[in-house]
Parts: sequence; C-alpha cells; structure tokens
Amino acid sequence: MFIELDFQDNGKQSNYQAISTLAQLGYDGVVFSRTINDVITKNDICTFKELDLKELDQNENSSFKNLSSLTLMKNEKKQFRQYSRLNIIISSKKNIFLLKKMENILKTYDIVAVFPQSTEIFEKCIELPTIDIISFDLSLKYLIKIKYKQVNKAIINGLFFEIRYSSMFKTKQSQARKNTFSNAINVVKYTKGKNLLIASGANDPINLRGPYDVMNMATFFNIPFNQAKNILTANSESVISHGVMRKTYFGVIKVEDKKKIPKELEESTDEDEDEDKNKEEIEIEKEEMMIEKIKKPIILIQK
Amino acid sequence: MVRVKFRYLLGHVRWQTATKMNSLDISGIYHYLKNSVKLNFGEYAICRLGWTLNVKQYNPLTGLFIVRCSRSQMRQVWLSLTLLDEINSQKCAISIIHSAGTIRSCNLQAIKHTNNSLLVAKSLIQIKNEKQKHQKKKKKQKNKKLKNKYLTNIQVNKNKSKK
Repeated sequence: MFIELDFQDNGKQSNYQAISTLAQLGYDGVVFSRTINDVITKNDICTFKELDLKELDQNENSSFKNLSSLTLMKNEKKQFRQYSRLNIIISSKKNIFLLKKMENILKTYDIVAVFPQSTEIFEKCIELPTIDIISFDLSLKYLIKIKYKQVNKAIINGLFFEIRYSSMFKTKQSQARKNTFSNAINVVKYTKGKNLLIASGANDPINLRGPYDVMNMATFFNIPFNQAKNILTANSESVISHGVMRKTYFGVIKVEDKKKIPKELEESTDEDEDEDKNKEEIEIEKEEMMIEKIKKPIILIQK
Repeated sequence: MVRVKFRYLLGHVRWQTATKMNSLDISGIYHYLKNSVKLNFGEYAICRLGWTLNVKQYNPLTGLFIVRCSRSQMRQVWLSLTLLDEINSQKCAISIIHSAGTIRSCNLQAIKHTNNSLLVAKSLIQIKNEKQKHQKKKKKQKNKKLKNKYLTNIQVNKNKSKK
C-alpha cells in the first residue's frame, strides 16, 4: 500500500500520464498538489475533480485505453485513489494569522502543507490545528535552525515532517544534489525517524521512482531498515486520516453534500437477501455493523 | 569454503521520448554506470568494485537489463542507478525490479514482468476476474450448507431475551 504524496497538478493529460507511470511502478494512490505564496484568498478553493478511469475504455481513439485494467493489476478489488493537497510558502511573519482565519478554505483540501522560511515562523506553525505537514526546501545551502524541544512538541500534537527528493535530478546544478543529502541527514537527526515522510515534488513523470528505490535511498539518510518501510506505508496513510479528522467538528460529525453519494448506494435494498438467511445470522450481522459505525465519525447529509 | 559471491540486479529503463532506443549497447550502459558511481561515491568505490562490475544482458525492445556486482556493494550500485539521469543526451529513468544471487532467478522474474504487461495490453484481466468470481460462488454455497446444519442443532439465548 504505497502512496505518492506530492505531484503537481498541471491539467488532465499530464495527470493521466502520471497515473499510468505510477501504476506500472507499483503505487496504489496519488496526491495532486498546488502551490501558493504567502497570501490565501477566497479564490483558492479546491477545484480538483477525481479522474474517471473507466470512461477511457469506452473511447477507442484515446491513448490511455487500458488504464483502468492497469491500475487493477495488484489488488483486483481496490481502485486507484486520488487526493488533493495545498502547499503554502510563508516568508513573512504577518501572514501567519491567515492560516487560522481562513479555516473554511483550507478544509476543502485533503492535506495542507507549510514551508516556513525562518525559525520564528517555524515556532508558530507548531501549534496550529489547521495543518498536517511541515516541510523544507532542501536545495538551499543553509537550512533553518531546528531545535529538539520544538520538534517534540510538534510530534505530540500530531504533525509530520517531510523530505523531498525531486531536487536531486537536476544534472546541470550539481550543488543541488549535494545540498539535499546533507540537509536530509540533518532533518532525520532531529526527528529520530518519527513522523517522517518521503515524497517527490515532481513536474514530469520521469522524475518519479519506484517505492523500493526510495526505500534504498532512505538507508543512505541514516534511516534504519525497519523504519524505512513503515515510513512509506503506515505514515502515508496516517497523514490522510489526520486530514480527514481535521475536516470534522472535533472528530464527531462531518457534513457532506448529497451529490457526492453515488446512485447505487441509495437504491440498494437488502430485502431480497434476507429471506434466504436465518434470523440468527441477521442479528449477528447487525451487531457487527454497529461496532463498525462506532469506530468512524458520523456523517450527516446536507440536501 | 571461501568463495566470491555476487548479486544480480534486474533493471528497467524508461525513456522520455521513445526514439533511438536501438542505438544503445551493453558497453554504453557500463560506461555511464561507472561514471555515476565515481560521481556519487568516489574513486575508492570503483577500486573496491574492481572486476566484479559487469553488465550481462540487455534487451532494447522491452528495456530490461541485468547487472552484476559484489555482495557488499549492492546498495551503492543500486543508488547510483536510480540517480542516473541522462544517457546519450536523452532523459531516462531506471527502476529496479528484483535482486538475486543467480541469473536464472532474475530471468524467471523477467518473464513474470513481461507477462503482466502483455495482460494489460490484451485486457485479459477481466477474464481473470470472472473466473475468480465463479470459484468464489461455489465456495459460498458450500459454506452455507455447513452453517445451516450447525446452527439448527444449537439453542441461542439472544433470541429469547429480545423477543
């Protein structure tokens, strides 16, 4: 269950190419991202729509004809997952209050990430409840000063730190590759391998690498073998669940529009199936359904 | 017994533009691989590899190749392959599928990899799904008969309290 956590959104055709390469490499999900500088306005609402992979099979002239069968290669029941993400680059202290004020705009995205450019901004981003990830620009020569106490506070609150490896593939700028290695080792040293993520902020699908290649790369960042696989599988799913709980009202209730529910679930009736079963089997199933509902937050429907 | 042990890596090359793929040889890959190891890990790493570094097989149609290296230097050769950007002034990307101790197991994995890509091209996965559904239905019918036999003989207390 590998998920690619950062790929820039440049339209439909580039997204189809990205999904086809990632399905060949062995991934099971993608997160399409978008970058913003400093100021958040009302126009920054999420306009991302999930791509229908089954429509391509019906059009015979398209070059991505068999994309739906390609994505079903590994697990034949599960589908290829798609999410949305926002990257915010903050360089001045005056714009931090916008992250608290514009909550409703940030709740339309599944994951929100922050790129602080100085240590004072980094101190204030730790306590914000509207954020999922804190990441750095690793191709610069001098990284931000990080302290152990601040990192431990962030881990208690549930935030994640990120490393991006797309800046290593610039051949004409050999200094960028050297800086990413030294800065990534520095980040791993202060976090001690907890709440770490590895992603690629790539424009082209050529700069993407498979999951086992990334795990081999992580061993050179002084991450031990045991944690290298957990970082790609378990931590990437926990970020998405952190984003889901961020949207709810204190983790209890979530409101959705009625248009998102597919028609199949509304029209399904279980009456025909219950006639064949005994009464005892029906009651056992009802208890299991109740136990499953208690674990998840309640979803209300808004007409 | 003292014996030199190797590791064989199965790799797959991916190009940005699918032109001029036939102009590459085994000696070309060896040349670019050696330069990347020198760039990333220095001259000491090349001297430690020595004669054990070698490219055994390369197929220009599918893009699969097999590289041999000593067992202690496997991870360094792996990283130098992932960071390889340009070959013959064209952009490429390399991903490694399998690592083994013999060439024979690498060839078996290469057969599986090509079979999967052929299934996608021919869309035979739909036929595979239908076969599995047919087998699952038969299993369910068997389990239903066993359940009905087991439950009728036992009295369950839950029904009495809810009635």
